[in-house]
Amino acid sequence: MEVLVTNVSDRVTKVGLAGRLDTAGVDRVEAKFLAACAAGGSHALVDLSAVTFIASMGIRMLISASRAMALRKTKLVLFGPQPLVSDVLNHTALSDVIPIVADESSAIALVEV
Amino acid sequence: MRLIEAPLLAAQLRLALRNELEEIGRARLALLQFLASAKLPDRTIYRLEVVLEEVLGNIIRYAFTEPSPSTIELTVTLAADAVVLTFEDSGKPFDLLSVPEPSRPRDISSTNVGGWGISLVRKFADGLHYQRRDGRNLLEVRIAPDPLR
Repeated sequence: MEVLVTNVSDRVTKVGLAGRLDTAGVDRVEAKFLAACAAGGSHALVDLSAVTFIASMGIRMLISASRAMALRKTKLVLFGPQPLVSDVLNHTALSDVIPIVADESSAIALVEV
Repeated sequence: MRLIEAPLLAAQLRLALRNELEEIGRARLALLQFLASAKLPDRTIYRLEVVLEEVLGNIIRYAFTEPSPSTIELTVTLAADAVVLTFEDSGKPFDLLSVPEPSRPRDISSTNVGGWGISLVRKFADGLHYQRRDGRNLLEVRIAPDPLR
């Protein structure tokens, strides 16, 4: 499991996740991921395109990040989930409370309005 | 009708797992190796992995009140029409089927961060059967193969 952080603009950070968001994967990246999302008061676009698996611990991590950001008046947007990952996201509360879009440009459009 | 291409010899996998989270990864690799020759669709493998992750994680995190080591027995059976995962542990009684579905929140601030594991097991399983027998929890999860696309 890996976390790759890049600046999209002064107000937007892209956080790429790669690998499995299972118990072991979340344990490895959670602290780094939460820190990356909270850094600098920016909005966070989370690239899920290289995430091959997600279960409840991954859902928990994404909700935690989004809640922390909402308190700071910044947004978290997810983009690019693979179909099986998307299936899990759509089943949970996550899709009701965190925007999930197909690609990066759609994600940028959501935070720049 | 036989839906699964079962290997001739190994129709059942038995594992004895310690109640430690690191054991989930070991169980997953053993499951994948066992099922490799069954040629199941990707979605079926994904459903099996989610069920394994969530049920084992739940047992390891919550079933045992004492910190002493315990063993969780996992049996994977390749039946003609489904893969059957059977989890057996000596932890406190817990019927996964009795847990209500989490409510869907209206906004992020009221969203519970956890509680979706059992819901995912229900979503991906085709059959769930729980019994408490001789002081042990027995949970059987049946997963039929997805249609090939």
